Amino acid sequence: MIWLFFLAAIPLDPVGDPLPRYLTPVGVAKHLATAAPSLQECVSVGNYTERVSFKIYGDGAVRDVEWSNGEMDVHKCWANAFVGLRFSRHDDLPIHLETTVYVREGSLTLSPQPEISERAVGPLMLFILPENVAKAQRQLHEVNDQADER
Amino acid sequence: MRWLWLVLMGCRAHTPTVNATDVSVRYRAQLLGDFGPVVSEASGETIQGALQVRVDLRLRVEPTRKFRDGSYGRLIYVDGASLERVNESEDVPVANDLVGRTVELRTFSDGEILDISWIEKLAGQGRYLDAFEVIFPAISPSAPTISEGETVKQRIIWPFRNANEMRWDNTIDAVWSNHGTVQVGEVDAWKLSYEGAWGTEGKTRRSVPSQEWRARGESKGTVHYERKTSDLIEHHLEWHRLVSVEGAGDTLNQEQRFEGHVERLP
Repeated sequence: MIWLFFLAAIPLDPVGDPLPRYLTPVGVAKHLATAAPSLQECVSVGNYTERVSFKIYGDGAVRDVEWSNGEMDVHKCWANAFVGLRFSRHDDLPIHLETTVYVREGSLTLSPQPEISERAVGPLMLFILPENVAKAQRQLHEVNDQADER
Repeated sequence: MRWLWLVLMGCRAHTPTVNATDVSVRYRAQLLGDFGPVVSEASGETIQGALQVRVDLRLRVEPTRKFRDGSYGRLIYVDGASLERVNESEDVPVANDLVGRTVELRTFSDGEILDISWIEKLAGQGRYLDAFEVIFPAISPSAPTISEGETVKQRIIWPFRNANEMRWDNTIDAVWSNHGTVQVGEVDAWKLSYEGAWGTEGKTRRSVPSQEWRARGESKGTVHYERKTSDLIEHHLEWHRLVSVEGAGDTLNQEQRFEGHVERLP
């Protein structure tokens, strides 16, 4: 009987939690951090800092890996590690991610704060064409300081 | 006893059922948005002139889950979307990337909307369903159980929120009437109509810069529900509102009128 009570206490569903149809910056950063061991395997010696960017497509695949500094031997190995990093599938346009790989005396660290592209939505509820968005945003949010000056 | 049961069933008026959540349904939604100029309250300057935009959406609604409070989750897939700016000479397409996006609509079985998860993914530049948010109550209008010839007050409500960043709430103080049964194509249908004041209030919470949203207007519409299943067949609506968006620097106003038709596709 007591087991039935325990069973009944298990939540059927975390009410309010949205289904994972899209990726969140926190989720992306968390998953990205799991790539560190695979990236580390590519490194032998040396000190370098590399800026890398890639896109996470709707099927969760990583493609279009690009490096800030020209070609290096380690890039191919790292690119494979990033491509092997499969994210959850999502319903948005490809997400552009940029981060930094640090290698210090053979030890690799990923930037704790990757930059994840965010869509600019403009002022909500108003129907505004793209060419007028910047002006509307300025008008809404730029405080005219001169009016406060004496 | 059986006799009593038959009499009670015979007296059954419009009773929306949970059937809509059990199966996948496709809708076509056509809306004409008549947007007045966007005007600065502080200076009177016009940020954007008046324009008309025609929207044609193909939506697929699929059941997902049942929540502990008895509400239902349904995913709305945008399978097709075209937006056109109506011009005297030739309509001009408005670029959008709505196709492929989804939201989860959480409703009670009578259609009352509790939440629309991921709605921010269909909002703003290139997606525009924040301005055209009428699409959500249009496919889930929350009609009351109402006997033929009677009139009942029941609100149509729905929120627009982005997690804990911002939120506004829409309320329509709708007065509903049941006009009896009609034929819609080959289907026996209940014809219900509603009319009422439309109000919107909301503000940013955690997100910056801070903003407030307010709107006042009116709404009216006619909804046909399949008699056998109480599923929505079609919905014709005419709604309008005066929108005010207030930021730290200024308030922008825009008059918005929507005329539209939603129909269930075979």
